Amino acid sequence: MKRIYALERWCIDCKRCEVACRVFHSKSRDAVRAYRIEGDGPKNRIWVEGTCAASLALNCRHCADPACVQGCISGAMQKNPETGIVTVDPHRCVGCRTCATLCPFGAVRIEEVAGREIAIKCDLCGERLGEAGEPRCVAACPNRALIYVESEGGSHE
Amino acid sequence: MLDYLLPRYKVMRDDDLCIRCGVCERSCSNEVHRVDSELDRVTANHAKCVNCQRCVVVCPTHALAISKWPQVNNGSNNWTLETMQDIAKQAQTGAVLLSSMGNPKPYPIYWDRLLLNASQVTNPSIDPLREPMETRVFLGRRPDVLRVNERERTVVSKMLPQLRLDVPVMFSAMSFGSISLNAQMALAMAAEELGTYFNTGEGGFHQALRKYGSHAVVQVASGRFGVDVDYLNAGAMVEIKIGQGAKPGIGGHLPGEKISAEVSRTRMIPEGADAISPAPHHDIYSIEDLRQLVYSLKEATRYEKPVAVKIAAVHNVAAIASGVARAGADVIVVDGFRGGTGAAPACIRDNVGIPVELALAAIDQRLRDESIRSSVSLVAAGSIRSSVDIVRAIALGADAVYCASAPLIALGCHQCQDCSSGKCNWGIATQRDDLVRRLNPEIGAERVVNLVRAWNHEIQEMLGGMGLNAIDSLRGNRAMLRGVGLNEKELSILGVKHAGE
Amino acid sequence: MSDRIVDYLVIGNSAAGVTAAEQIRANDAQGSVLIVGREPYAVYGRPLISYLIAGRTTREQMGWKGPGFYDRIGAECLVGPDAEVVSLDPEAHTATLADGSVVTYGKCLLATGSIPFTPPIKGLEGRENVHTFFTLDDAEGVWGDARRARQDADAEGRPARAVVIGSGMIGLKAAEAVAGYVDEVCVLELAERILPAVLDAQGSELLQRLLGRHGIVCRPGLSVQEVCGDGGRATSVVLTNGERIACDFIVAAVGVRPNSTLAVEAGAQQGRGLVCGPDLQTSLPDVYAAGDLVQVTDVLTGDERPLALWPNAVQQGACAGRHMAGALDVEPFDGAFAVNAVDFFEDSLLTAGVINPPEGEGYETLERQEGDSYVKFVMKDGRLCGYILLGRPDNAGVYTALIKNGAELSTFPEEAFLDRPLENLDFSHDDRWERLHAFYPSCLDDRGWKEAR
Repeated sequence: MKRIYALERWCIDCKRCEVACRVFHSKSRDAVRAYRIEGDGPKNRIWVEGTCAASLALNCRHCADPACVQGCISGAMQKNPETGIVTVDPHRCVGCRTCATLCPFGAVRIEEVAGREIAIKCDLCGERLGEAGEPRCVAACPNRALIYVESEGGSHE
Repeated sequence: MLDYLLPRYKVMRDDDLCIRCGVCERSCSNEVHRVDSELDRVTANHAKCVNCQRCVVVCPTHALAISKWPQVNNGSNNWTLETMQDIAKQAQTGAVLLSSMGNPKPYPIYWDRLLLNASQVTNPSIDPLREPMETRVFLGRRPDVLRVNERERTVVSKMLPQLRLDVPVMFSAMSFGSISLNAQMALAMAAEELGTYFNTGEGGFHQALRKYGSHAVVQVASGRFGVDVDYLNAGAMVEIKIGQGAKPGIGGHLPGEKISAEVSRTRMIPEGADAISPAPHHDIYSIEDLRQLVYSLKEATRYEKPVAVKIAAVHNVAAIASGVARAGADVIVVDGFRGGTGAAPACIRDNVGIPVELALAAIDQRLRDESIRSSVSLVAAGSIRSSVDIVRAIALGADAVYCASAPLIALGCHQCQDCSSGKCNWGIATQRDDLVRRLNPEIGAERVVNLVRAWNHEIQEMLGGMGLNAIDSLRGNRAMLRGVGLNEKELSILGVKHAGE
Repeated sequence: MSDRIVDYLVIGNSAAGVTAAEQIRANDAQGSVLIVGREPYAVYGRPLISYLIAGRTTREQMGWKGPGFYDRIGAECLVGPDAEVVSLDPEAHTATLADGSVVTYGKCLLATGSIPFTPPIKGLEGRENVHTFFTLDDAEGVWGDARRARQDADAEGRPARAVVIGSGMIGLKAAEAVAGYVDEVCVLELAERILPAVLDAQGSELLQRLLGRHGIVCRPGLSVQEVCGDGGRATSVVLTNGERIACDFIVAAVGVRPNSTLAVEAGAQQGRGLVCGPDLQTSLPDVYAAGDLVQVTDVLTGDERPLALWPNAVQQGACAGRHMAGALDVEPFDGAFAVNAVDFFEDSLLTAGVINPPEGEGYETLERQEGDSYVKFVMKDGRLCGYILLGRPDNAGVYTALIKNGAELSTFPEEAFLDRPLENLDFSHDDRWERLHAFYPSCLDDRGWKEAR
């Protein structure tokens, strides 16, 4: 499967990835509407750690044997057996935080969406759960600190 | 005394588009932008803006543009706002005004007054997509007589060391110190891919770049930073820098705070100590002295590498070039007064030297008149902006060109002329780790390669149009040029006829 | 129902059983798989029952595997009281179901989980408004009583009240769920503090205060002496201190025990749970076990006990399934440690590993309470072995990974514990690369460049 890899030596802490992610995961998919009208509604699923001195973009690693999926009590968190993409179904998730407590990277967070606290994580910008899309964070990165490349293994358990 | 130095620029933020994401704030090393969450607004400290346009480019909603500060002039053509601001600055500080990049003043640009020829009826033009079109050039002294063994089809004459350029463009000298290692690496990688050369400048040759040595020109300048026998042998050509177009007659000064551990190691000078390049080479006071240095360098490189001498285009440049050729240089580089720099006193940059077009034509003519043109190659430098400038330079007598500003622009440079601050937001003219990181050399190299490849295609198109199938046939072929709007004297120095003639 | 012969019999239709069936199918495309379960439902997220009552999920969305799951993995599934296995004959490789039919199996998995323990309290049994809180049916019962309590109380112009006996995870989640219906929830806990298994004294006290804001009154050190009522319905409880509390209904959640009777009767070795080898095979031939009923080695302390947690059941189910199907390169199950994540209203409580270290065994702790948050880290020999994150959930999983990997703490900045959450940037450069770049393409270097450069 294709995975997003962050290369911290090129990360410049601009957080354009966060903006692009948040906009794509908004209702309108329009930056101005997403930020000015939808307010805190849309959430980004990539987070830049650190400061300009050293920074690192973090999103889901789509693990071979994901701890978040193992721990999910609602079945919302799943690894698609064909694509290897790990996604959370926002309707089934109850926000119990088990996934966030098991993810070794902090790449799953619990945030409020439409009045409910649910798990938020990278879905590779697929239009449907488990489907790969064109990750907007990678496109928005000005410095190839995020690359979307064919990885070597780990698609299936 | 109360004195208000006006901001030069005003940050125009379209509030309808601004999403307060803070990308501009995090991207500006000059600390212009600030997200004020209490005001729910992004504010700008206009006075700090240098118009590098980083924020304009990175803003996710393109909400930003930079405009001139709106303060109106007093109407005087003599005491302009700019002049008066300079006076105010100097009245405050007592300091020399520094600036960077090339001469911005509205001097005539002769390139733009020279038009190219094309074939019609009597001589066919050539389609470069169907026919071979040679853009390869060799730099260095040619043998006086070429002897060939026709039976064995071999060259008998001893061939002197030459540089092979697959494209007639090299990247001019920019030192590690004046630009970042990543910027140098991008140029080095591009040079390797394009089959041409980058130039280390006078700042030594960083170990990380030594693997690109076969595509490097190593420079020996008045400060002799980083020069030892390994350095001389690490490149493909050695270049003695006598002068620089942007600041003829003066040296350089890299302040101690910019001498980081890496720069110190590469320049072979103490960390934190000022790096002073003297105005002259203290061992060169005559053509004979220059000859000594040229041959010392040839000796040190076992006569395996050509030696170039770079001079600034100044008043007497043709005679100087003649002397340089006779001093044993294999390549003469002439750098015009629009050439860039990392830092120079503005008074020098803006007023000293002459345009490279005139210098180039004068040198080529002088060397021909003295029958020594083939003993030396001629490289033109100092604001080559496009493929057309290259074609014009070659038609005026250059073998190839050096360019730096254009590849830097390909790397992101927006010509803000603030290189000397060391806070280049594009990761080019800076040594600050967080800023250097902004230039991923892989991307930079791809862009520079794209630029030069595009230029080379255009050169082939123009050559074909002129009915030429090799760039060699264009060299000094001034019949391919016509001047427009130039006076007799200019035309005569350029050695071209007026359009219509 | 007629007798049948299957290659794999999975007893238990919840996390462990279903995961095992999935893994059996993934590693054996041919073998027939039969799953039997006592509850008459397709597999559902058992811990969701409190969320169902609280209106945070629906019956439809509780399905753990989505529609068509059993067909997709090609497993037959029998559920309901008739499908309960009543006896097992490991010699004959047969299991007898409640309807008397016999299943002959090649390999069998016991994944019957745990069952709630009913406390021996006078007057508790036989009341229709006294519930355990473990199954979907329990939840429906509690939910119905909660709604009825609201109606009755409104009609009578009095506050609605619920009593929860036991302040473990289940008891408190039940209390949270019904707090939306009744005015007062009284949680009784025999121990000196609430959530004794996963909190320390300070954390318990804070959580008790936080719960109090939502009408949940926790009364540690007290239990029910007697349940009083008229006929089938309990109406009040008398506490061990003599106090009487009126109630509309009662949830009894004093604990669970391994549901291993079937195996024990068949002769399986039982400790505090079923004793299994590293392949999760019980002492009986071809009988495996996974989930809450298995005795697990706590990798942090060496203790042997069941670990009744959902992720643990899934992990064991997967491991047992792979072993049963004879998968290649299957890792042994060599223990686990507890990780608990739970939220009460807007407050989150995340805990892992050793929470209350015994004195004198070389444990060190760091703790800090600030406002409504309480953070505690337990360390031994320079390694993290437990934490409490109450009201500070960020990056909890990164700490869990430290415990799991036994990472040396000396390389991490001190402030990345009490002062702020641990981040990936706090790992050494090499460790960071290793962690975040699994399956990285070998044709690229760490700059993302093709090696050819």
